[in-house]
Formats: sequence, C-alpha cells, structure tokens
Amino acid sequence: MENRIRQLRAERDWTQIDLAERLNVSRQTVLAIEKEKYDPSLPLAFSIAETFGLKIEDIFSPGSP
Amino acid sequence: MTSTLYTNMREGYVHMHTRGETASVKQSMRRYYWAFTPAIVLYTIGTMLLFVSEGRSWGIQLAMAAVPIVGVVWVAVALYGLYRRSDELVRWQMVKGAASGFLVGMPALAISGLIFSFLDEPPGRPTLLAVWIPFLIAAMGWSIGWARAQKTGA
Repeated sequence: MENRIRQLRAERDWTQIDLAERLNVSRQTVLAIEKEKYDPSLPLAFSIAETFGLKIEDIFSPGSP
Repeated sequence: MTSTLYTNMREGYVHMHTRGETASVKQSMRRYYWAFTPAIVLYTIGTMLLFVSEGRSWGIQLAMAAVPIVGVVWVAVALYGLYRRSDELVRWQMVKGAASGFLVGMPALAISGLIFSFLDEPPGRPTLLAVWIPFLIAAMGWSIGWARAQKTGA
C-alpha cells in the first residue's frame, strides 16, 4: 500500500516525533508506515486521516500489487 | 510475586517503544536484555539444581523445579508487559518474531531432542545437555525472528 504521509507531514512542518505524539504511537511506527514497510491498522489509518484532516483514500492508495 | 515482577519490569525494564519514549535503540535493547537475563540465569541455576536433586525427596525436587519455573514465568510476564505497553507496530513485530522463532525453534527442539534421546544413558533419562541444547536453539530461533522483525522500522 502506498501513502502520502511523508509529504503531508512536510507540508505541515511536522517531525516524525510530532506526528507520533499526535497519533499516540512510537516514532518507529511513523517511520515504518512512511517507508511503506508496515500497513497501519484501520483504527490507526482513521486516526492518521483525522490528524491530517483528510479522508483515508486521500492518504492511502492500493499501489502496485 | 507475579505482580511484583510485573511492577518491576513495568517501571524499569520493558517499557521500550512506549509513547514519549525517546531512548535510543541501544537503550531499548539494554532494557530488553535486562528483562530476559534474570530469566535465563534462573533457568540455568534451576535446571542444574533439578539435576543435582535427583534421587532426593519429592519435596526437594519440587522446590528445585520451582526455580526454572520462576524463570519461565519471568519471561512470560516480561513479554506480557512489553506487549501491553507497546503500540501496534511493536506488537506486530513481537508476533512476527515469536512466529519466526517458533518455526525455527520447534523443529530444532524436536530434532535435537530426538538425537539426544539416543545418547541418553540409561535410555529415557534426559541429560543436562539434552535439556539445554534444544532450549538454546529455540532461544536462538526466537532471537533471529525478533531481530528480523525489528528491521521493519529500521
């Protein structure tokens, strides 16, 4: 799954730690999601979308299989 | 006792990757090792005591058996504490690590147990080596699985 988290975070000038604190997860989790090594759970995906004020589909896309 | 162990670990040892935790990976690993070192020491001492106490009364043997059991309980409590205080990525890494370790460790346990059962003298009586080598192989398997799972967020 692909995502735009790094780009959205950069637009808001947030560090990975800032985002991690807003999401109540570790920085390692933010890093793993940004690098697309880990797909977040649905609750976390909703939380990410809410934090950025966007819909899930605006942030995540299926990507190439 | 379990409650005390859990409290100690919560406070001092196994709160890696919790919210607000800015400890380096090195510090996190140090906590991880501190959580498991006492368990390994207890298991080692307890296993030796168990073998030394062979032939003695049931009461003494049961008392000796309690030492490695405390070691096993320590590991279980440490893992539970770590799991509870972790976020979803670390939980997933733990499950993945445990699964990898299980896949490597269990066949190793079975094969080495079978080999050592042929070496036993008299037959059917496990030696200290027969207890320890499968245990070490299983522990190595789990460690490899854990280390591989940790790479996810590297």
